[in-house]
Amino acid sequence: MLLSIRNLQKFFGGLKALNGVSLDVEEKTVTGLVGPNGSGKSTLFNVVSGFLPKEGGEIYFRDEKIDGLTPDEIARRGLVRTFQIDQSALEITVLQNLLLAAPHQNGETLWRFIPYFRQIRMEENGNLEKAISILDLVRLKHLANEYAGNLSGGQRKLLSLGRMLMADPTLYMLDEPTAGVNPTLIKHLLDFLREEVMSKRGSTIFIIEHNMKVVSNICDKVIVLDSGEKIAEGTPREIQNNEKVLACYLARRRTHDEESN
Amino acid sequence: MGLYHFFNYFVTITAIYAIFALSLNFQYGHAGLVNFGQVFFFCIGGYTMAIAISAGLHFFPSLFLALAVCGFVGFLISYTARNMGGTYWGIVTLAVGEIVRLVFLNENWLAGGANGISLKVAIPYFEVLILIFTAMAFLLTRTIMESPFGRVLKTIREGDDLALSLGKDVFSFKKKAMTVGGILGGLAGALFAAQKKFINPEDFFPIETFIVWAMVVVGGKGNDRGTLWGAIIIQVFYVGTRFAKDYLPISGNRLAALRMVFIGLLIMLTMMYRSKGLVPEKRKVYKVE
Repeated sequence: MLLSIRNLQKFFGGLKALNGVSLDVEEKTVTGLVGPNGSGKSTLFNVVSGFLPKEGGEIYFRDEKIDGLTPDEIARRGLVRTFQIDQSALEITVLQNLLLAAPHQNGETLWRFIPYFRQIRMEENGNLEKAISILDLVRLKHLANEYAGNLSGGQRKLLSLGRMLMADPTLYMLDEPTAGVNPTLIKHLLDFLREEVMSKRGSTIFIIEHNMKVVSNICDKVIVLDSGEKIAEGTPREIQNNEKVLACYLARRRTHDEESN
Repeated sequence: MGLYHFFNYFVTITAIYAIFALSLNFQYGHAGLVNFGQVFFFCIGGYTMAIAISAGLHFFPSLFLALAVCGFVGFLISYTARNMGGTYWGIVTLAVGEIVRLVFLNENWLAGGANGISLKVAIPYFEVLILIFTAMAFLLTRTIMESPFGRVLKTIREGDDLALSLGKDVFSFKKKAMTVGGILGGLAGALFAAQKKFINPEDFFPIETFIVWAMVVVGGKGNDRGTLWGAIIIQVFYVGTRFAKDYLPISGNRLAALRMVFIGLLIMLTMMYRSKGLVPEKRKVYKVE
């Protein structure tokens, strides 16, 4: 098992954002995490990636305990996440955002500047080539030298996906990567994620997604959260016919309709 | 004072403040560390230089000692930035700057207290040496900022989360930025002391920090060339008014008071009409075929 979460608990004051969630993400699969707004999906991502401390439970990544590690340590072990609310560095260019994501760069250590001078230059050129090919893939090549701050919301989602591809971790944790992206491009990107990232690179994907169509297209397994608890787990087809899931989604929809009326 | 002396003084003091401003630009402009106590590097660098020289050390060993001490101080102060960011940390640094000055003011055994300390140094071609140091400081910050290390610093400027999520040890980068900034600030302070040949705690009021802030803001934060321009412009007002009293029908005291008004006005105008400074930060453009 690549990622194992056991009885994870996270409270915000009296609110039980995660109330004893246990789940597994198998190697070389796409696992979806769905649930109504406020069900704890993003909180789970934040706790797993080390951005929020937990109240209880354990997290294992490649059979090693990772809870308690800092976010950067977790990322260096090969678990990289994107954010639901874009965190791109807006004052540097699109291309620099990608170059930033390349892991283990010698040029990021000051004392290596002189002894590793040529190696750093070669590394940088290699990364540059890779970054440009990724930009081509996420359809941002024409904006390579543009400030990231000038991109639209959808383009920033693509940029965060591009950074992810550049970082090329063992586990991709994607928080709503398709929000605001046009549907044709979504399909193209999902195909790419399945074929290139999973089949060729052998990576694993753990994805938060609201769009059920996307979920049933790409996911091998879907986990449903509601009010900080796991209420269902199974193939996309099983989930769509699961009564508990339907109930929680319908209940939300009914209250929503009442509110809007 | 003759024109030659004025020009000589102007160039050296501007070059020294340019190094000082580069040190702030490295921390604030490039890495986003809002340091309101930059003067403590200037102060510690100057006093280390003065104490080392009175202890009998030569110029270069004293200078090296000043840089080492300031780099270490920067490293230590960075620990206060671990769980604190932005203006909260700025207030801490402001306080540290005052504490450092008050220590030198009240500990008479250390460096003469309020009476100050004089430096017996005579270095041939000192003006040229200062200019060489300024050029070196400029090249150093530029080389660092062009590197992948600099790229991470620019990212951290906007917040820690992205860099953390990509596996960058943000705190370690901040420590290094503070250390490099400290070394540069110390260099400026040491050269200042050696040039003035006498320093006392009055040279290190918090106002010095704000003068370098004015240089960075007016010149253009995040752009080292802009910082050099900022240093020149602010010094024209600061030093220029001191000498203009011979030529203008205003009393020296009034003019001295007015120069801070000029600098304040300059900051205001820059903020209103060129909020990114006179020479804004440039993006690095790569060839994408």
